[in-house]
Amino acid sequence: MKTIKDEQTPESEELKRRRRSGGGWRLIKTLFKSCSGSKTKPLERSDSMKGLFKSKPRTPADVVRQTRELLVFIDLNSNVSSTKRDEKMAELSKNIREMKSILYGNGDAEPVAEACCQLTQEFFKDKTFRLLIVCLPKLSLETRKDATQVVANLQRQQVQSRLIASDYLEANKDLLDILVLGYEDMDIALFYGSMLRECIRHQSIARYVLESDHMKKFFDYIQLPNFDIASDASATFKELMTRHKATVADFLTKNYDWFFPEFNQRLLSSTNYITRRQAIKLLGDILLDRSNSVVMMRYVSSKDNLMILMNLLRESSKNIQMEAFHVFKLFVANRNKPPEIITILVTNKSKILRLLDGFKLDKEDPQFEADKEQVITEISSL
Amino acid sequence: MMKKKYPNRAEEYQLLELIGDGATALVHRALCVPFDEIVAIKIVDLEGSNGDLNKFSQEAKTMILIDHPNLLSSHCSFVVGQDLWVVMPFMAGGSCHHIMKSAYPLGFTETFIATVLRDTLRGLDYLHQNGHIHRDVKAGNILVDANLGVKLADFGSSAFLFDSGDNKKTRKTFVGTPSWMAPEVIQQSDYDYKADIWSFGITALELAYGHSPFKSQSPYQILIDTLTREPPSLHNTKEKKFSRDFKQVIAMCLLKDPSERPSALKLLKHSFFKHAKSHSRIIKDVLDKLPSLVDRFHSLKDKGTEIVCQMEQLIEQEEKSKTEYRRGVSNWNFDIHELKAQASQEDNEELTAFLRSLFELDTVHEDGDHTSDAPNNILLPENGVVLPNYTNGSSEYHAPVTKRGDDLGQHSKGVNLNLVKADLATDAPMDHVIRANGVKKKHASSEGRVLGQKGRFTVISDNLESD
Repeated sequence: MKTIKDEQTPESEELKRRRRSGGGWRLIKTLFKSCSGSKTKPLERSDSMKGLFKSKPRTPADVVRQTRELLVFIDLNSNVSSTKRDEKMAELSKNIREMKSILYGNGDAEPVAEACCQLTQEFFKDKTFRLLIVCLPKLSLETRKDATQVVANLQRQQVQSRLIASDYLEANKDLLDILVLGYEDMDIALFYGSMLRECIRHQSIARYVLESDHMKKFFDYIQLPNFDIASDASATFKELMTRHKATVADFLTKNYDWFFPEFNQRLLSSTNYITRRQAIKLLGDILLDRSNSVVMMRYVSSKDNLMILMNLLRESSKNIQMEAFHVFKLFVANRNKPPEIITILVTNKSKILRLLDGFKLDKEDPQFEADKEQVITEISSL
Repeated sequence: MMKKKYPNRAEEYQLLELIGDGATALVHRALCVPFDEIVAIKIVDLEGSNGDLNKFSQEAKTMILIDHPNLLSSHCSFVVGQDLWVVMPFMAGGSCHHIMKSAYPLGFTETFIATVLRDTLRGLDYLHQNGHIHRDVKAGNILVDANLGVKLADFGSSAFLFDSGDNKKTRKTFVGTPSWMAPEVIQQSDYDYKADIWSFGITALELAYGHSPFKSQSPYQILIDTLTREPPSLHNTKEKKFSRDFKQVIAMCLLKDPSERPSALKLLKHSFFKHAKSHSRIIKDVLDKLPSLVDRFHSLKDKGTEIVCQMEQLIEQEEKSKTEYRRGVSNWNFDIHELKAQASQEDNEELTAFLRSLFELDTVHEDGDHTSDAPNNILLPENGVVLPNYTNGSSEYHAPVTKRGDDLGQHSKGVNLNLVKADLATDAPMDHVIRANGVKKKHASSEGRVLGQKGRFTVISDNLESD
């Protein structure tokens, strides 16, 4: 069914374009033919005639306004199933697709900056964004995709060199709560997830999510059984933990006491292979980032952390071993190793050396070899 | 209104026969127990995938969000131990490539082709409208089933243009399978969805002749021919005559200037596709003459074992050349325009040999994996798995070439295939690659990571987005 609809859309688009641009007799004939051929109401016919003579195209702002009106209708009449509602729904889908074409361009036509700007301005003037997010579960799959792309793109649109999306979200932070909680509903998780990742490109918005209670929920979301959703949550988590350096460093400093124990216990010690693999990679990314050096020093001074890392070094998975090595080397490289760290390393000295000795990559990597050599030297001298 | 929810636990499925195996994945026929329904399950070894889980994550998301009768979507995907299971509809006929290899060595009838191509185009149109470029359209990725019809599969190489909200409609990444790659993809100029139309044209030739028009050539020769020669076209053969419409469709797709190629939607209106029939009957006709997919899989495997011995020797030689290749890799830098000139003059043996070793290495390595991983090394073209054609002694190259890195870069005149790296097995960060100019480029983001994929080839471009 969808195919048929899809195939027809471009044709009617074409007609609309021709109608907008005025046109000659052939066009008028087509118009009449299409009017008399179907059981179109007289009102609509006069609409098209009006369109024909005035030939006033809808502006991007018009499209947004109309979308908003339709969303209000859908929002209020959510439980009524009627032909009228279906019609409105179809019209809404068309409008959202039109917004997408304006923002991304259509076919070979590139987007026009002025039109994008107008659209963005109108979009954030009123509660369109809120309505779109709230109504998303009611839209069809294709329209959800379009809406997601529209929202994603709008995060990057500047109006007078300001990202007004950021301003809007700051004033409507509860929308982010809705987006995060979307991971709990598998029908909308991927759409809200994509939108959320775009929203946290704004530093202030990322800070809000980081400081909210939602952060704890990500430890669950990452381990959801559906791979597509879990890996989407994981991508969002990674973005939160790496994108805005200063904000992340600040978050980690303030939340060290719950974050790392949770990270160790829930993620690094998870029974789920992919969770461990992604977590150890992320931990490396976090600790090896210069902006997190204070946090890193604290992390590598704890024997509990060291024990977890040493267990990961023994994993059968090469990928996990490799990432674990990149974190393990920090414990060894620490110039002020606490005595308990030294004790563990000394106790396991021969085992560690044996393990490292047999630790080869499939591919030559001089950097890795150099690191390994240094770790071996350091441990041998203990 | 949402899709039926398939169970996301391994216990709910019963794995039946193997219907395809490849470098990184196995495909099984399986029973979804609670629904009492036959499905196909692609099992990907994530540990073997070396490094980049992102690709699988993107593919899983694309496949679950796709909703079109002519595209192979997934029912669900979940992780079992170190494996990723992707549950999909079972397409009993297998791929068109596979069917030709088993029973139609000279290609299909025009009616069948028109039907298959029309449905493929519908799928492509949907992808393009949604901002995707498939980037690996070929008969091996067109699956058929008497009830489910025709479905285009394998979104492992597909690019999601609208991803992360940017406006880019074009790509630069060198990805695909050589025979089917459009000139602009090979040249790594900006390309868009029209690249799929070229591949579609090559696929049409493939269905007509029973093989791609570049049969028995090395991949590097194919790339050079695609750039320098007249585009291939459809001609009558001793055995077969083709309609004018069919020839015209192919000629329209195989125009070197992408802007002159029609869109999928426009192409669908061509009178050639009026020959298309409703698929159930026409597919049944073809499939009735065939043994089951499972039997075909096994018979092709038997033929394959003979070749294994011969391959082993070759692999040994390649190991040697691989080491040499790696040693010298940092010095290489090549330019496609220069290459074209040189290929015609044959005056730079070093370069040509390099290019040749590049592709042979790739292909042979892929075979090598199979010799070691599995006793038999024939891969079935089921759901993104590749079938090298050994059966007639020639080697047609189906090994996809993947170039990763960043394709969001700025436009640079000329060619930017600065460094090619046979990174066959590791998760190499971008900055491990030594640039042609000797400067290491730091790039911390995950996009900059090389997708090291077993048996595939990784090429890195330096046009990075400075984010």
